[in-house]
Amino acid sequence: MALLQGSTQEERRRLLNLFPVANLRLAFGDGSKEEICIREAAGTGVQQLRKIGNFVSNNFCCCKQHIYVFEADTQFKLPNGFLGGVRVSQTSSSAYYLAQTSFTVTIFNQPLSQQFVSILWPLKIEIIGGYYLVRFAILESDVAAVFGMNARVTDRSLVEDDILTRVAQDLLAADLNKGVKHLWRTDFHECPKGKFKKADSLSSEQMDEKKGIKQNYPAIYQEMLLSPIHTSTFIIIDGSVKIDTYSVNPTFGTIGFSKYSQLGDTDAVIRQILDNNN
Amino acid sequence: MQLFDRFLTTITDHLPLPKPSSEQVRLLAKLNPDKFYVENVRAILGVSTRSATQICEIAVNQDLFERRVEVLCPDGSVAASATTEDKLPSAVECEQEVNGFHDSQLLETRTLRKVTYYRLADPARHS
Repeated sequence: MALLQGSTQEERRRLLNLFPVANLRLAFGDGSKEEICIREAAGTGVQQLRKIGNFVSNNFCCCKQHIYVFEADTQFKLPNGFLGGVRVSQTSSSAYYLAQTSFTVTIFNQPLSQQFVSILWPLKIEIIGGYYLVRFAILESDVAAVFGMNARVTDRSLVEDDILTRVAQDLLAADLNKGVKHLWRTDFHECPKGKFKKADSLSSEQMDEKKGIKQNYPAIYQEMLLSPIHTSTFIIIDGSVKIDTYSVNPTFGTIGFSKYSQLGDTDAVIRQILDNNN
Repeated sequence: MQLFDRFLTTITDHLPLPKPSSEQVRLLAKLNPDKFYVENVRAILGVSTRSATQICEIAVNQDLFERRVEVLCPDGSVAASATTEDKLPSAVECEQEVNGFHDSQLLETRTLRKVTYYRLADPARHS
């Protein structure tokens, strides 16, 4: 709660803006996304701040996310906090944090000027089996847009690598090839855009109109099954998971969700990969 | 091929794995003996990454494999390789696509990702 208590209305508005409108409506009532974010960010009472904090924790899995998966034994402890970030809530195997980051926006008009935009950045750290996951909400990409056409983000005070250095130093990236390939083999997902490592090259295949490699190029599919897969996009075809698409670099243990998941099925995709990776 | 045969004998002797099928032997023999990754071995044998790493390291200890390391540019291409990380060049040249052009830049190796790979120990005996 500490960061939320000291936050500005604009910081709270930007924080709520990271979540899908359907989830905001469910928690806070009717209105457009902008209306809900402004209305709910205006309150400064302890109850209201707690409500926002709970919303962030309960709906984190619905956010757009960058996820880093590391190898870790089950004795690994969740950090109490880290430089630049505080813990908001915790269970035995996961914790939510808010970090404070600030964008420097340079406005290329005469005279040149700079603005600083402060953002409360939610992240989740969790331990699943022998894996340690650091999950970042993806921050809005158009921070500079409100300052006009000539504005660009030119610096940022805290980036994912900074936090990873603080909470996952010396941990090895998990290899997720086995889990991802199992899901491909069993038609949980199909790959329209894949990169894979041959002995002396990095090969890539980008299908037209999001056609699947497995269905259309079986020889390349077989070759990919036997090779380290690098950053690739998968379309989820299993109807039980309500997410269209995600990206994964199984060789370096990273997973990305670039769209909202209203039902929070990012958790289900991660579970599927990890459950089939051992 | 002889080295891969010795490799197969070694792993079946040292690890609780079923004897590799003829298909697995065929796929192992098709690997490039000068360069293969843990994932290649894992995918062929159908084991976990941890087991595959263990298998490759046993092969290194038995002088069947050599372990090497390569450094990757941000786009995933390999910029350089060496026997150990400290023998990699301190900086490597990588290309970045900007507005449809490939611009080259010199990047510090310590900031880039490294990947371990293996090769058969004695290239002269590949055939």
